[in-house]
Amino acid sequence: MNVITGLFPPTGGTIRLGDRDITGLPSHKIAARGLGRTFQITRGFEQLSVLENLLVPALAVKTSNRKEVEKKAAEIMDFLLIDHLEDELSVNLSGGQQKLLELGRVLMLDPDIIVLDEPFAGVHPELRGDLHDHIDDLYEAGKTFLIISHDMESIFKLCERVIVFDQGKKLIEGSPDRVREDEAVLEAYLGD
Amino acid sequence: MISGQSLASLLLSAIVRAGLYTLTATGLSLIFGVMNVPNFAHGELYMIGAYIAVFCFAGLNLPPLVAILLAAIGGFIIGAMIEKSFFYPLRQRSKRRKIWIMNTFLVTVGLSLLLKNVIQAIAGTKYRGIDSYWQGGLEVAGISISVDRLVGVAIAAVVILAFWLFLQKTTIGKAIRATAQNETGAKVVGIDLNNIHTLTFALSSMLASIAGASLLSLNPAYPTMGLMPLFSSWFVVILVGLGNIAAIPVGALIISLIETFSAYSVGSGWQRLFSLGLIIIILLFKPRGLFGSDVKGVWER
Repeated sequence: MNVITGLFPPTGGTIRLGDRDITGLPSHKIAARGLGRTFQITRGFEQLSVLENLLVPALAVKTSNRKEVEKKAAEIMDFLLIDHLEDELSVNLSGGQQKLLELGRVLMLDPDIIVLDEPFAGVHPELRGDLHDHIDDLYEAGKTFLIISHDMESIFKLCERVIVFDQGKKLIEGSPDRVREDEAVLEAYLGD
Repeated sequence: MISGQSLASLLLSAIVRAGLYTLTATGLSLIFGVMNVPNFAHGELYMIGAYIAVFCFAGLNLPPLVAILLAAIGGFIIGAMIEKSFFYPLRQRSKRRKIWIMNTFLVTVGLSLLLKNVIQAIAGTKYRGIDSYWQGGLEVAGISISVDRLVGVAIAAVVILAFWLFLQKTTIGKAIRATAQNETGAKVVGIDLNNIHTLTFALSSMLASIAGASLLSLNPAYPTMGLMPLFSSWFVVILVGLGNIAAIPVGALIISLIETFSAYSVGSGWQRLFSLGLIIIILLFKPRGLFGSDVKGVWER
């Protein structure tokens, strides 16, 4: 994930986004080309308000003007159900709200592909349900998701194609039903 | 016993000095907060501002505000050139943060020597000052205040207010603050850190140059004039908390009051002993400074 999003330099191979080669591009260029990501431990701007957090990514979208950006930020806050937190400093949000805000920052870039790193870890079950709904809605709207998670319940609920890794090696790839019943997966996750 | 008139006069001197320290310390704090560069060449941008102003005002006979404006523009351009020529290439090769801080510290010390010697080669070692930008003064309750001092304080106040509004209200200002708070988070939402770093260094250099230019009648230009403002600005930045820009004016006032009154009471040679002593005591009890550091990166990255 870090290589795909430009945080680590690649040691080999090629990364393509659609028909464009993005191998070795810096993170900001990859973000501007439509690949957004979140982190397991959120990387927010703690001393900025929720609204300000959403306005910062606007710099990557060169054609946008201030009014358009603010309108988009308002729509995203409304969609993520965090509009009542608009003026709250991000440092004061709960872990789940921080995750929603991070998704909001990514949505400001209007990416085609959204990479989520452990989006459900440490999130209150109620907010986790909200997060499922948001991902479903965005998927219906045409966004592609790559989700990395240990929360198998969420993965099986949301994903059409699942790849399981164990100790850095691919165990299996297939539909949720196939993965759910695979013995190697059960062993890797439940132990002997 | 200090007379009321002397007290008022000392307070006025302290306020003028606080304006100067606010301008220089804000830039220093911003560079450290956003780029993690401990800039020991910041005093030289103050010195360059003074030289540009003396050249424009005394040499070209330009109006005072134009001379100060040109010093600001000169500081901005030179700051951008320094960032692009020294820190950008270094950043491409530095991967470990601790090495980055040490490397940039050494680079800024070298830069300080370089800039002082370049100016000395061009302008010599003579003091190049002016009597005043504006003639005359005001007399309030028996205390005479020169127009230069008043305008110097006003310029500092207006520039700091404008700069604060820029950081708070504009998208670029928010991006600068966001970068200081979480560099990785800024990168993945499309912020080009190279542009933010260059802009930060240029703006900070501009603030230092404005300080040097606007107080030219009080502090004439000479190659090593940046050393004392540099020290005092570091005292302010450390006192309030590294990278804590909002608290800089308060810290600047505290340091300037201590320096002004200790210089009056026991002599100017002792003034920094008192400000340093206070900083040592405060840091013993509050290692992050009086108001804490806003820069997460300084402590936790």
